[in-house]
Amino acid sequence: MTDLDTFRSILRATPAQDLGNLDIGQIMTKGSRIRRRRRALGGATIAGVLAAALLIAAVGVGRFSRPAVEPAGPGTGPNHPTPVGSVISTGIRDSAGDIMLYAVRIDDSRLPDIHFGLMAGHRGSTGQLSADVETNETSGSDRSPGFHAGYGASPINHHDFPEFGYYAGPAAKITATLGGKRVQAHQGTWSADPQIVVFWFSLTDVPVGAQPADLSAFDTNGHQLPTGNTNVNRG
Amino acid sequence: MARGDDEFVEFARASSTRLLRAAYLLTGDRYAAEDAAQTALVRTYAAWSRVRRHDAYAYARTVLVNHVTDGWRRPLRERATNELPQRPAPGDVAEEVAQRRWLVDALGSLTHRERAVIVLRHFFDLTEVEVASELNISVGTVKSTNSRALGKLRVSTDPPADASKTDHPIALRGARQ
Repeated sequence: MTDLDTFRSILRATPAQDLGNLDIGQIMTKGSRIRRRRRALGGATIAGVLAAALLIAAVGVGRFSRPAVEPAGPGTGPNHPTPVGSVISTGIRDSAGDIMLYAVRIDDSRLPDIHFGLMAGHRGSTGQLSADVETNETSGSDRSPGFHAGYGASPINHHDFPEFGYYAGPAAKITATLGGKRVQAHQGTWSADPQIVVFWFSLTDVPVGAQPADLSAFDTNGHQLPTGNTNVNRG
Repeated sequence: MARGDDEFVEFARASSTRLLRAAYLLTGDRYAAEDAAQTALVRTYAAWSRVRRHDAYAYARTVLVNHVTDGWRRPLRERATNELPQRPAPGDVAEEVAQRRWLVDALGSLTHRERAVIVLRHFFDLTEVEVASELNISVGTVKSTNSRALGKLRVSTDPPADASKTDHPIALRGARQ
C-alpha cells in the first residue's frame, strides 16, 4: 500500500456516526417549498404572457438576422407561453426535437423594469413548441447594458440543455473560459429588439454541470463591452 | 407517497452518509457539515423530476461543493496555516480517534482550494478533469494544487521502495513543516 492509498483510506474512514443523522422528511418538506416557489414564479410568468396588447406589438416587429432563427410557427399550446418575436434554433437536437430559445413576456409588479425573459424548449416533430425552463433578469432593468438571465447547462425534463442567456448591447462575440480554454458562444438577435443578443454555448464546449468563468462580450472591433449581470442560475 | 418520492428516499438514505462525510472533510465542522449535506439533498429533491434519470448523486455532490465553496467566498473566512499538526504514532491505543483528529487538523492547514481539490480528488475519486470542471479551474491548476496539498500533508505519491519490508502499514507522515 502506498502512502497515497493510505491517505485515501483515512479520508474515507471518516466515521459517519459522529456526524448525526439527516432528517429525510424535513429535507423533502424544504425541497417541496422550493418547488412551490418555482411553480409560483412560473405561474406569474405565464400570467404575464397573457398581457396581449404588448405581446402582439412585440411579436410583429422585425426579423432575426441569422439563418438559425425561424418564425414562431404553429403549436404553442394552452400551457405554452407564446413566444415574443421569433424563435431561435440552437442547432442542438435530441430525442424530443430541436432545442429552441425564445422570449416570453413578463408582467410582474415586483419586477417593474423587467418585461421579458428567455425560455428554452423543444420544437417537436409536430411543430409544437415546449416550455422547459425560463430565466429572466431579477433586478434592475432587463435592457441595461450587459449580460442578463444566464442559465447553466443542466438536465431539464430528462434532456440536456445548454448554458444560455442574453446580452443587451452590440455584442458581436461572446466568450467564456472553461478549464483554461476560451470557448465562444453561438448568438442570435432578438427580432423584437436588435440590441438584445441571445447566446448559448454548445454542450460540447460547456457540458452539463460545467461552470465557465469570465463571461465576456466584444463589439465588432474586438473591444470588450460592459459585463452587467454575469450570474448564472443553475438547476 | 409518489413513486418519485420513494426513489428519492432511497437515494437520500444511500447517499446521505457519504455526503455528510465529504461535507465534514470540507468544513471540519459537524454542524456546518450537516447543514451542507442537508442543503444538497433539499436542492436535489427540489430538482428531482429532472435529475432522477441522470446522475442524481453527481448533482447532489455539485450542490454540496458549491454550497461550501460559496461560504468560503464570504468576507469572514478562516485562515489556513502552514503548521501541520503532529501525526499520532502508529500503534497508539487511541490511534483511530487521534488519526481522525489529525486528519481534520491537517486538512485545516490547507487553503480552501487545496482542501476542495483533495476531497474531490481523493474522497470522491474524481478525475483531474472532473475536479477542474467542478471547481471551475484549469486541469493544470488541479494538478499543481493537488501536488502542493499532498506535499503539505506529507503524502507521497511514490510507491514504497519495498512495501514488503515496511514495518508500519501506515506510512503517512505528519511532521511539522
